Amino acid sequence: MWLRPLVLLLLLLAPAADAQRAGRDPIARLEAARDRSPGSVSALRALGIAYYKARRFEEARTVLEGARQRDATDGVSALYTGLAAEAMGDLTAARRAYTTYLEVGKTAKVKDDIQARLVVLARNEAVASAKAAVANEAALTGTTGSPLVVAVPPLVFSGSDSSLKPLERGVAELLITDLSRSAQLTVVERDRMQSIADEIRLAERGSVDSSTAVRAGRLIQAGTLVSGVIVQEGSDRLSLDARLVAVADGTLGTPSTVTDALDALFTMQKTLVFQLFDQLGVTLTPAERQAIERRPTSNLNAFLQYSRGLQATDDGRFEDAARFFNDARSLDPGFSIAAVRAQSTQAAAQAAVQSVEVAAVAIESNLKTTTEGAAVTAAMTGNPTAGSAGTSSGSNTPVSNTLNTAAQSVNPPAISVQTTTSAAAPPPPTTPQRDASTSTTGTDTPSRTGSVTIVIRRP
Amino acid sequence: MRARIAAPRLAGVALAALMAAMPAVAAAQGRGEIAVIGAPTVTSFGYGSGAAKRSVSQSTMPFVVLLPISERFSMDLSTAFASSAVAVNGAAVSSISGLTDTQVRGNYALGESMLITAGLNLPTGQYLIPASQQEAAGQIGNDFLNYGVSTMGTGFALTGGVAYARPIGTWNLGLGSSLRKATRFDAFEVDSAPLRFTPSDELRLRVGVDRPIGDGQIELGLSYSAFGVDVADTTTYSTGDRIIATAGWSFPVRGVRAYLSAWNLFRLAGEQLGGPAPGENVFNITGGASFEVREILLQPTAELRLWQVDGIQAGTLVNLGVRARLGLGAFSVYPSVGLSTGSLFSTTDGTELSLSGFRGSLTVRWR
Repeated sequence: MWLRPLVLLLLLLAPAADAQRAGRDPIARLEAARDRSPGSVSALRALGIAYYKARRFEEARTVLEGARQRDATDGVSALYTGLAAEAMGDLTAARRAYTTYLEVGKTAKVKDDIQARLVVLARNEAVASAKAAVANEAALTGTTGSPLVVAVPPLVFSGSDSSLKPLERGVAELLITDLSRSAQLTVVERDRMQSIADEIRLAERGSVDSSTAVRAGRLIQAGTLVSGVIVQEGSDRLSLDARLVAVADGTLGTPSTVTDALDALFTMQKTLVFQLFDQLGVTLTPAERQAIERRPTSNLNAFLQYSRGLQATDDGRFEDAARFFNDARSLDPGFSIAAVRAQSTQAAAQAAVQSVEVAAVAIESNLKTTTEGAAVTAAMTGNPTAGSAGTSSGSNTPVSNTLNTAAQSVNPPAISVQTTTSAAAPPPPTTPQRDASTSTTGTDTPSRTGSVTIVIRRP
Repeated sequence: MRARIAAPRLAGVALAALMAAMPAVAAAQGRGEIAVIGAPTVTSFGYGSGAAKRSVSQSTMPFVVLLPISERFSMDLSTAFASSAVAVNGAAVSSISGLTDTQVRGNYALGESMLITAGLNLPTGQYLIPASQQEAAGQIGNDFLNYGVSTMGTGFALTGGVAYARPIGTWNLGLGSSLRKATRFDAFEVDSAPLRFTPSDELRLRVGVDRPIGDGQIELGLSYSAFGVDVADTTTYSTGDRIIATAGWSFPVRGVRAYLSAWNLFRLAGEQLGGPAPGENVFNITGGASFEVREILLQPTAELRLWQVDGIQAGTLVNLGVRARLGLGAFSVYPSVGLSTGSLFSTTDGTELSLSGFRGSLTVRWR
């Protein structure tokens, strides 16, 4: 009589045996969930995070890329792709993934971390790229970029007032910024150019000859170099001199020279850049011209501090750099790029001393208690769907949720405190425990009279 | 005066042992895995008007500790301080304050599909309640108004149960059952003598299913609580078995997670003071949404609740509320506020009393 129900119960339990074995290992559980729903973003994301935590970085990247292909707005997948790529030393992929997180991610503190990380990453990436270029210099010989690919190394200062020397980098950056306004030109980023120059300097053990800049331009695949000089004339006059250099053969273009009072530095720089556009054969649109004519600051002292900040950044002295940029911002509150650089360099000062692992821990720490962090927590417990990561994804409910709901229903909490960490809907209230004494006496019914009398008949 | 309750010494020892063990568990497991929750809450309902206007207010400070001992075994401990008062026309007529019982629960997973659950109710709450406090102690137990702390003490009790879940096609099936074994306790003081109360055992059965629907999810559940016969002194009572049905559907709409949920509590007719006790039914439906504004999660809700006693309308209630979640380092803060409006009806002559209420809470979770 009892045999039949017992057999039925065993049949019911049998298929769960495999799941129980898989259930012991969160990764195995998440792999099983992924296999059941290969198109589920949440399943892929959770598995990718679990792989990352297990230091299986390559698998993490593959799986997370799959999640990102299916949902380009999934910030957590982008973040962990970046972390995995950085752990593998693929700085370019890490930078791209982090940049995506800045666009689609939701956690402000993590975004701050990533901004700082990107500064360090850009620098490391530029150095790595420079090392690779120098190492492969022989292979690059004879190949130069288009003349419309322009690099601007720091200008060379000549004068008695060494406090003006930082203008080498400041004016170079102004030129880069202005040349970049033209859609016809591709201008090499300042950091990349600097890294190549530094690398050549290292390779040559400090001895730099006049052809260093041209070599740097060749290595960076630029076609044209802007070679410039700042000459101090007397105590308060400057001369800016620039000429184009064809990287392919070192041919020098016609020099453009502007001389004026030191206070007219920004006017001189604008005059010079328009001359360079003419020499490059670039015709500017009215909008481009208007953009170029805008000046980031008109305060010379602020610009000098800013230029010192650039020098300190190039030297890897981030704390000094942050101080200089802050000074620049104080001197000219409207100098917005100084404010941006101050913030990013300050963060970079912290990030620069962090290893990749420490940085990752800090980033993950800031994810905790957020919606995005809930997705990470869920992944760690082998739950592919808990924690929506701020996206609309979330199917394939794991059986563990069902199990917990059943357990909560038969052994409910005496006090119901709702503290879900996910963005999902709060669960339906659990059935409260009966208060037997008040139910029995009927005192739990709102009374209409002035008092409630408990009537218990005594024997 | 502390009431005479079953196994009080054992309860105290168990609670002390658990509290003493917590730091060791924390050290072994890593602090990040433990969560501590505090949730000061104020709830107040008022009904009627003029000199007969009554209010039942409650201030509570629940305290919950979640302890994940291992991947398979987790525990939680909860208790609360509660202060409840009944006032008529602004003047307090009954009040009660103090600690509630302490509940310790543990879940042990047997693989992915089965879970053993156990609970211990330690009688740290209020017993031998004098006449001046009885009304306040009783009013908070109303199923319709659903106060955060619904009882000041239910005596020493043990609950043991098992839950099982497995996928069936695209559905997940969850089953559960439990038995709650309660011991006698001195609930009230009546005529200067303790009223010894012996609650019956409770058997709970649960069946639930859930499945994804598109990017959303649907859940259905049915619980049955069967009670035996309670004994107060030598008189027997029956409060009626309870059937609770739940349903929930959550779905994304343009980046917002919307949800609809409903529950229905049906209490079968029982026996009270030698006569029949009417059955009652409370139906609740909730609609809400969950979305983020910057990094703050917001969950506005609208709720409709209907109460019937013996098939006759006894109350209606509309609750509007909003809950938020803010992350502050290791802390999550969940402020919430809600307003209620509705009516209570006499089940004998249909007289209507207006009902209004307020609920506010500030839940703080560490880790």
